[in-house]
Amino acid sequence: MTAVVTAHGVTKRFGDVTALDDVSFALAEHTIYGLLGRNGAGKTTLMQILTGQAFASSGKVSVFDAPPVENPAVLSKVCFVRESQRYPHVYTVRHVFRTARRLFANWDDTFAHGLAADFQLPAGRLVRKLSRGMLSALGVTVGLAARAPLTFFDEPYLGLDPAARQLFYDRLLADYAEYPRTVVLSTHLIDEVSDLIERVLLIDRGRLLLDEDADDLRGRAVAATGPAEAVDGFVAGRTELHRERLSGLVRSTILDGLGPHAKAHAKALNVELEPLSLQQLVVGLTAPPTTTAPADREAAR
Amino acid sequence: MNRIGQVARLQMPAWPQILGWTWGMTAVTFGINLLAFMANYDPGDGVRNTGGLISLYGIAIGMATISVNQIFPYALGMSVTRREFYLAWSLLAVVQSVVYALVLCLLRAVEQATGYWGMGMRYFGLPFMDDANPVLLLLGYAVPMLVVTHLGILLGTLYLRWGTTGVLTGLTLTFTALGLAAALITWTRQWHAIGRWLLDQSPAALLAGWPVLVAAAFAVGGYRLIRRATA
Repeated sequence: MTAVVTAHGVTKRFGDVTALDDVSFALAEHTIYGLLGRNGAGKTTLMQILTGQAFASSGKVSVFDAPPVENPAVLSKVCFVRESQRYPHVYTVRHVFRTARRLFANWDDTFAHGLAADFQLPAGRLVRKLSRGMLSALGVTVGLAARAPLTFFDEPYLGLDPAARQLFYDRLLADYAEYPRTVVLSTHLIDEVSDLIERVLLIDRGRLLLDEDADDLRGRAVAATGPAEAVDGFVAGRTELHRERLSGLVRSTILDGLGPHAKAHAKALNVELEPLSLQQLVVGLTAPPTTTAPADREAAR
Repeated sequence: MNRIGQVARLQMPAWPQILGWTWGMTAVTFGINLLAFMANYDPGDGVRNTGGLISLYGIAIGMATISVNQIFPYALGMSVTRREFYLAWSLLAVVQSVVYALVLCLLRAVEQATGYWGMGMRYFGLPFMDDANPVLLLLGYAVPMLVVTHLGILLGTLYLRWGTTGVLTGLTLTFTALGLAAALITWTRQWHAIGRWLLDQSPAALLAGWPVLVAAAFAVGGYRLIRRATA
């Protein structure tokens, strides 16, 4: 694999808070990544550091084989679309397109105007007068039409309605097929993008929990439900992510649960198995234990 | 260089506002000064200075600060480096200073041709530069403009780094330093020497020569601060 990005031991501290804690990974060329994690997990901070917009407290970042900070050669190949992007007060949608055309080498004006028409973006309107949905549409339009070899979308689809989001996913896939590049999507709408993303990076409280192929992950997590003792028997030797009690039964989220013998084993123990979606897996990995195990919380009082 | 030009053009959509407010407000202050002169007009007074032109330079500080604050976060989002942004804004400051200086030279010529607006009111003309050559005159207007524009950019950068606290702390420290320096000069009875030194300087050195150094100091400060700024 040709690495477009390598991060080694990236750590970011804001006073006492550690936003990123020793994060290491690599991003390959021509791949769509899902950067997943809860609010405040460190996703935006990580993308800001990768695009030279923020500074790591320690660790090493290399983008196209060079540090991205203040590096025009690297940044000319990078586009970072933020949900919270600030636009100048006097800018209209047309001004944004005009400046993007000058600043992004691969900018495709025809594509941009096609997308703007699809999203019904009014070219003459001031950006600060756009609705939330239109602001998101403007962001994804810039991100797609810039055709940067490395493109980050930081939840710009938050304001889009389901139909507009589908439009974005369709356009992204079609354009990606024609102009392959590395795309990082940070999102909470995991099930929506799970067919789109090829690889998953999951961060939680500043730490990288997963860096795996999306296909592998889809089959990896199962929920095992049954009487507590039976589930205990099944879980033994496997990685349990999460457990909840439901009226006498126990439901356990297990990683790597479905080997060739797993089904027979579960059946013998009277444990019911069901495969989990990517979203359920992420919830299982990142949900705080206190909110999902009321019985434990009672006991702790 | 081409890239710096492209980055500088990020300010283009804001030009109607910047020019409109700057020269609109200058027109208003000019009009008020003229009214005051008309109310007190006495042909025996000769030509008097108003000092009102200083407001144009004050407005330029504010415009530069606002411009940095409005456009830097957007530029960073469009994969522009902080260095490119700073050089572009410095270039804009130079262009703006020269263009404004040309306009002021023109207004000064009109002022002299109309017998100081018929009221003996020197508004645009600079004192002690009556017989300066055109180049010196242009520099006399442009260099102070360059100083205040870079001061505005520096204040904008302070705001980017540390918000209102940063700007207020910077101003407080500056006024404290200036006040202490004034006290020290008084204490050591040096005002007379400073006055003599100032009188020894040519108008060109006072309006153009020394201010270039001040502009350069502001530029270095702003550049160093912006290199660590985040949006």
